[in-house]
Amino acid sequence: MVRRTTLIFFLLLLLDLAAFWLALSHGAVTIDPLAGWTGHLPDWQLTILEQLRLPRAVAGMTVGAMLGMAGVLMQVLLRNPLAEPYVLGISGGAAVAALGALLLGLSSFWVSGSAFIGSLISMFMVFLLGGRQGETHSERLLLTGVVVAAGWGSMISFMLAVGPDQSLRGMLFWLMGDLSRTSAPWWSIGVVFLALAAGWVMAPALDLLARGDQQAAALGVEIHRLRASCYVTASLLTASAVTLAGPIGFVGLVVPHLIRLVSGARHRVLLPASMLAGGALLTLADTLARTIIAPQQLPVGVLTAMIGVPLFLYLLRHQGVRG
Amino acid sequence: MTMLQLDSLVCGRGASRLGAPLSLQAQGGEFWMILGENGVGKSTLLLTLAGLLPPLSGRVFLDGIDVARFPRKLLAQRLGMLLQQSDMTFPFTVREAVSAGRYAHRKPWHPSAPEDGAAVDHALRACALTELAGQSVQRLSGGEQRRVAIATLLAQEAGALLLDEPVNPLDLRHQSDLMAHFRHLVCSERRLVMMSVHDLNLAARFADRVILMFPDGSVEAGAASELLTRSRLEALYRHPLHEIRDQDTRFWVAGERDLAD
Repeated sequence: MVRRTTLIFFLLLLLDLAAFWLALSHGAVTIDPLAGWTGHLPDWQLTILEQLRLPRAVAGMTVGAMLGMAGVLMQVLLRNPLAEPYVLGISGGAAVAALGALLLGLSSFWVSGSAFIGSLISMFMVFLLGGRQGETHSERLLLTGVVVAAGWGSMISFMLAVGPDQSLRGMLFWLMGDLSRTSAPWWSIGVVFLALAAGWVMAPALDLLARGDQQAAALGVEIHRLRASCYVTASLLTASAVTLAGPIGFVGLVVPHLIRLVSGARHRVLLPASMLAGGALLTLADTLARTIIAPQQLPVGVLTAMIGVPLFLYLLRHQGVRG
Repeated sequence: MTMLQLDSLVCGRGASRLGAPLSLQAQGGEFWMILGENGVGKSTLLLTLAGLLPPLSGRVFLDGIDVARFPRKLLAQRLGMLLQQSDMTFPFTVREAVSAGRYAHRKPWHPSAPEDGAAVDHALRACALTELAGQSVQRLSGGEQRRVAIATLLAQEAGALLLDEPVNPLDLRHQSDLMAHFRHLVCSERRLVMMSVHDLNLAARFADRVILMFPDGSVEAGAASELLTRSRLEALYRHPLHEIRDQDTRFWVAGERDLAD
């Protein structure tokens, strides 16, 4: 069992390195990143590498990692393998706030700030409306999330309908999750490691929480404290991911599910493995999105949905995701 | 030795309160069974005793300390509870699921100690799950999942075990083996076992003491030999019963009720 886990982590790390390498080397022009390290690159290639590809590869890695971990945490909070930031309307809340800021003509800093606050508000709303007096019913929460997501969807349509033509392009662009909007995603590395550390500490108790609040309490878990820390961590991850890249669906859904199939449900394995796999998946998807019809670039959110939807439907049919 | 003390306890959920205040003392080395019809509050009583529901009034003491004041982890080292239903949403293996019972004994930075493995092995063996240890809990039958939940409780090695209808879904052999195991825990290890059951014959065979929860809200607690009488049990279930004696053993069989009433 330990061997198998070691092997899984080894393979995932290799996958991450490969994805990072591909993200740096591939694009409209092919560049050898090692040559950049040793100083054998022409200046314009070095500029592309340092200013464009490196921040983008880091954003891909960290946003994917955040979405993977956020998916795991929300699934155990709601005790439902279908929970995910996108499905629960967290991304929708962020989008409404960001579009509002765009409509007001605010700077990109405020657009990102609004997205961050919007996702926190949305998450708070789902848990406030879905829970009742300390009791939480996972199905109620999921349904609340789905309904809230639909509500945000209609508000987005409304804003697009009344928005002036000159903001429309920016708004549509925001709605398609994309990794190119930030040139300095370095803080996200800190968020990922912070969340990983918190997840590592919570993991044994999360294994128990996965079997129900009462069951976890009977086995010795202070569930209110645990749920609160899990909620805060998941919110921070989701808000950071949405702020960096906009709404990107299905990574948080598909990654934990795939990892559970190969490594089981223990959170000490599931959380770090989902982090690594999410990073690799999103970085690879983004590299594909940049090169598939180069020099034109696709937003990565389009691609993850295109891969994620059929994959998820397949899993639902053949593996029996239990709700 | 484990001592569970109920001090004019009234339990219930929300606005619905159950019965008259109940005071009693249960200790290690006693096998208690709770009997009563559906919805009379057996589960509510057990959950309250385990500190999972707050009492409406009165208090519950475990070893002289109010259950409500226990940190959950310390409480779980002394008292375990088998819930009526268990959630198998995520694909843990049987061994992983049963290991969860050791949580209360683990220090935060030392995930597992050698005695954890021994306790889990022991619990798996007692529930006849050793062969299934590597299987995913989701692939098990209902009865097997029930045994996983019971094994989790056994791995917890608490002095007091509360069980909500533990053996209903089990086949005859596993039911009989597990009941014998519980009796062994009571008699040889001086633990306290308290369970709700619907099978009167199990109660007659195993219980030292019983709590009868009547439909009118009154509760009687005491020695099984005194309380398990035909007239009481007929009132308990509002149903006629036949009593059959085979030497020293009594059996009860449900009679037929005139449905025209």
